[in-house]
Amino acid sequence: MDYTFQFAEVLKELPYLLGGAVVTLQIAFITFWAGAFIGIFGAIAKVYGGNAARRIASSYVIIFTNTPALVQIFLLYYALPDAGILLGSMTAVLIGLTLNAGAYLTEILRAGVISVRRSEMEAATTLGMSRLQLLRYVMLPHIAKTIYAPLSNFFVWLVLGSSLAALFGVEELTGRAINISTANLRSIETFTIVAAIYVVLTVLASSSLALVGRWAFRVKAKVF
Amino acid sequence: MFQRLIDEAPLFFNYHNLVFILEAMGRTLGMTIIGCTVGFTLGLIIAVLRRSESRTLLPFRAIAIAYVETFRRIPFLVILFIVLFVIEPLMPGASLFAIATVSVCLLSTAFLSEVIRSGLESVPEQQIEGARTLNFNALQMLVMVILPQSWKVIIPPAAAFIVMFIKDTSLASQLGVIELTFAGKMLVNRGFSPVLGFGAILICYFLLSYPLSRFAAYLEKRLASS
Amino acid sequence: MPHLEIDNLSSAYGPNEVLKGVTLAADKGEVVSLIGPSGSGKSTLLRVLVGLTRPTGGSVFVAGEKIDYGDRKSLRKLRDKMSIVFQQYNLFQNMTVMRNVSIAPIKIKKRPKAEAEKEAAALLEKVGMADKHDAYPEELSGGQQQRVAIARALATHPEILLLDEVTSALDPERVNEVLDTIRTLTNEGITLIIVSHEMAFVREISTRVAMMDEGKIIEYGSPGVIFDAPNEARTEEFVSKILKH
Repeated sequence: MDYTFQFAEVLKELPYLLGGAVVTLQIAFITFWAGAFIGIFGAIAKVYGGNAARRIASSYVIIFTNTPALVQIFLLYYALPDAGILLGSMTAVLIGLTLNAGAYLTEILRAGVISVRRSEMEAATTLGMSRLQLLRYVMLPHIAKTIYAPLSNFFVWLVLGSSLAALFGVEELTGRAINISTANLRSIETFTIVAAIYVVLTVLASSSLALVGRWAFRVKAKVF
Repeated sequence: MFQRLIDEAPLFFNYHNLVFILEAMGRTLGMTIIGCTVGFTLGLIIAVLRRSESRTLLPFRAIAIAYVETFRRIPFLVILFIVLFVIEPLMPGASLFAIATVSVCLLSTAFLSEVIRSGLESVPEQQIEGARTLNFNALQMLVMVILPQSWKVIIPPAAAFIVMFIKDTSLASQLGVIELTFAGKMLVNRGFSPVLGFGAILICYFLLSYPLSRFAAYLEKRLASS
Repeated sequence: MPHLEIDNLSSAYGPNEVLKGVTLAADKGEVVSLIGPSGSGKSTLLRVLVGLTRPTGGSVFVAGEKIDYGDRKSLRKLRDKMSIVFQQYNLFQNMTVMRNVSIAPIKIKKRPKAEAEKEAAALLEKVGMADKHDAYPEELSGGQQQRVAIARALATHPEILLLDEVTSALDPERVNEVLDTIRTLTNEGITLIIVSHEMAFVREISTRVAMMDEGKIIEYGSPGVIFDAPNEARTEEFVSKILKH
């Protein structure tokens, strides 16, 4: 095979690619927090809500976790103009990924909410704690400790999932890789380097989250 | 918008379209089933390899660990592109379906090897000691004692991952594989409403994934209680 | 020639020396019991003998042949002749009682299934578990599981049987059924090496008793001597404390 690997050509573009990595992290960050906002409501609906709220939240979770995010975004992107709403590609992607993330986060947060044991709450009540104190000293620390690891893993998963945005023209890491490789035709080198950047990104994210977890919550997490 | 749906629905649900969608579903399933079969097989080999302590196998173990830790941290879209650009020059006649399936295999092997490995590790050391003192060799131990006891720990998370793989195959549409997502796009391009087109596709994915998800949840409950 | 000869055997776990030069000999058919405080190395000695823990020094001879614990073939030959029963029974959870007892003869010793199962049935009858062939370990009590474990260890026709605190994990009510089973083994020509806290039992069935402390055998003699007239102060101290209960 006559192909000589020219990594130098790609490494020239490293700053451009790293800029894409920043966009990737931004997308992950936005969809995480926006999704968490949805997730809190969903979790509360599933645990404390009436029949209707529970069913709606359940259906939302079941539909969005059993169908591909790509098709969900397609539906938004192509169907909304029909209803008169025109969205830019970045917006459509962010909304789609957020709705998707919200479903998973509902489940993670729900597990956290129900993890607080009744016995602890009863003990705290009999010690004379008010409901606010109960929330602050018993429930929240416990929930935080339970959900920290799954949330960290989910964030890392979102970093990888953000690559979908490239298919809609967003210039995050994968999108920029596509741009570069169409220009310099060094596809293998480009995507290999981009793959390496993703690995580095996710390892850095997992490690820092693990460290924060250990320091703030005394949660022991595995990186490798 | 709803008027459009009502007008188009009878046109949409015709025989030709349904067959088209079913064929596309077949490709989605094909990629998933082949990917998971290979994934389980190679995943098992890698899991056993990682648990062994033999010196001679050390280089293979190192490669296996590097492979698993890397491919779990790359987006499937990027894996698809890399496989595409590696295979195309080497095998110009390779079908897009094959390329996509290879990508699924690479992804599933990485994830399933981890699931299988923790399953194998969940078997108590005492079981292995009992087998060792009865003169079981490594293969007999694996097949007769370890594997039968690791199924319950392996299958629930494995089922969840299979659902993930089904959803990941939707990205193969970007390569041009005529699977479910691509079929949806084609139908919308033919003029059907996106709600009908993608809605039908969403339902198809749902029919494939939801039974598996329920099965995984059911198994987890049974395992937790036993 | 002694059936089992242990010569200056040592075993270390990192910097910890668990066995510090153990020397012991047992004749064929003897019942040798090991007593001593926790941590004295009794269980480790059994684990080293059967090859689960590597020795760091010394040698072991079975019927005159030296065992090479680093060689797989030598280990296989050893485990042909030596079986062990663990404190935690270690029965295969995914197999029935019959399968647990018959699997080694069938798959390892390559005996025909009908023959192996017939023998297994006889062994199960002997340990009092004749009506439980199709039960799974999780359905059985600790005492029942332990008796199946003994049957399983006997199914491979060992010349030497090691019993590692086999009653320690049982409810007090279940201990006797297992001791009764062990009692029946004492006249069958199998060399028994027993680690146990059941002093009355040890005294009753042993031909010789070894007192271990801190990784060494400090005294080895007949039960009469060890229990009633020990030579070592440490032995006296241990025995008197235990027998006070």
